[in-house]
Amino acid sequence: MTAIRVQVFSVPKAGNQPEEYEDAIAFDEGSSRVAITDGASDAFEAGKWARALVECYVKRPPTFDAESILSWLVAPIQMWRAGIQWERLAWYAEEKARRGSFATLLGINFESIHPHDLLQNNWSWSAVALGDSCLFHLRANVLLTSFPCVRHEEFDTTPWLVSTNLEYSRQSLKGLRTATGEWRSGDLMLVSTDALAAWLLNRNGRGVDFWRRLESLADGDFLLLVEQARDRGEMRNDDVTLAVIRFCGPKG
Amino acid sequence: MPYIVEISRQNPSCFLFLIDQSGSMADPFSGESGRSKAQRLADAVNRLLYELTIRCTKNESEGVRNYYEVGVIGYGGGVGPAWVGALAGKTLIPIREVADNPGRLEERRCNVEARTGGTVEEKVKFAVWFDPVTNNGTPMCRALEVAHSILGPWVKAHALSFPPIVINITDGEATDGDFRQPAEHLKQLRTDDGEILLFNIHLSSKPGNPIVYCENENMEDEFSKMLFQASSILPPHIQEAAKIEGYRIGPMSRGFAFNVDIVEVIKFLDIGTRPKALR
Repeated sequence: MTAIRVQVFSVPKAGNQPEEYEDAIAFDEGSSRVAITDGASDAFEAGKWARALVECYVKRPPTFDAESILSWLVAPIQMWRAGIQWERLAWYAEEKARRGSFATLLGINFESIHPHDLLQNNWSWSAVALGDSCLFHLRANVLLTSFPCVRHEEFDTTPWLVSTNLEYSRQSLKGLRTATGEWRSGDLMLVSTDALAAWLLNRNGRGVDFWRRLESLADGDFLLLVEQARDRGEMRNDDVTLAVIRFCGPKG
Repeated sequence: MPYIVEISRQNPSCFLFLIDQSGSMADPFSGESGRSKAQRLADAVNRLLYELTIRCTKNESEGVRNYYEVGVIGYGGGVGPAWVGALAGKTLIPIREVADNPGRLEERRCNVEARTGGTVEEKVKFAVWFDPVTNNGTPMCRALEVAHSILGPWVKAHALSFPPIVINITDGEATDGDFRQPAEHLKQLRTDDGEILLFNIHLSSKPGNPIVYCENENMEDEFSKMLFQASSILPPHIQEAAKIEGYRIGPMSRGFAFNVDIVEVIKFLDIGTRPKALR
């Protein structure tokens, strides 16, 4: 039984090529899991690290405590390392690679509260976050929860990041945050990386029409929304990724 | 508001180092009997170029991104490019070409993090682009004029870029006149985003408390005062970066430092080198 239907939108940073996009998102509707990450621009092979993190999360997420996450990180680190031809690196790439790669992480699991209830309408979500990739939980076009950031001022240029360097990650996991909520028929969740998340939080006061517009986005609408917001100087020029997650149950 | 352009490959920025190679640079740095000021200076600039190169490295297939063009002009016996090896004689060089052409690579031992926790000693490759040189007087006026002749065409060709940052590192009085005049002339060059930023670092053999980013010229050394007067006021984003680094900064803080130790020099230089968008 599944709890979610997921639709994904993305726009690379203006001026960059599509292959330079360093956000990553993965989801599995069957196991009702979603993960999103923003690879740090100032990191080596950040796109590969971002993809390794979300793929490993969706396949086998960690439990939400620092020690479990540190053990879990071994799998994405191995995936990242295997994707690099170490013996062919130039001296500067070798040194940069030795310093590691960095990314935010937001993972969300949806679970049935009563697994044996045939109607399967009672679900919950739980989320784990390091850094400023955010979720927005909406009910009837009203924002119930934003997590982990609640104000647009919280987006700075030094977010908590998870690294291929385990000692760095051990320190960074001090910034680990978790949250839970109910997931009901008709609910909507938006999941995004920081540039869009900051823009959304800045506009939360605009009421139900603002959120309703986002619920019914098509691909072309999203590109236009991002380009207009960038042109008006409202949204930082960065890779932008959005997942729209809808409740999906027998009565969803 | 000036000094807000994002440094990118489309609109790269520029660093020009002016390096005092006069005879007195062979003297030890204040309070130290070991290495000379020239050696410390060479180490610091090599280290900065090394960090700049690594910062612009994104992935294995693309190599180094050309976010910067870099020049190193020495002044002492003559005034001209200080690069060694394949880059010798060149003025401004894209950072990618700098990365691909170090004078030599040295293996140095340093402590790095072990995968199992703790630290282990590892060999790390360190690139060297120029060596300490000490010769004759201090033709700083001429060096600033050469900087003007290099950067004049550059700002015309890169009107949309963040303006160049010139970092002058010296230990003594100019022997070819009052350098404040050519310094002012140099600072009048500008892109659409603002005037050239001139930073001065005074390395002295005389004892004296280190000074970084001060707001006034209440200093004993006359030459320090003149260098302070010739230094640019820090633009807001560098003020913010400097505050994060723990410096006491005021609205009139200038890009001037006196008798800073080697780490301070590197931190000081490093602040001005971050593309705004890197995170």
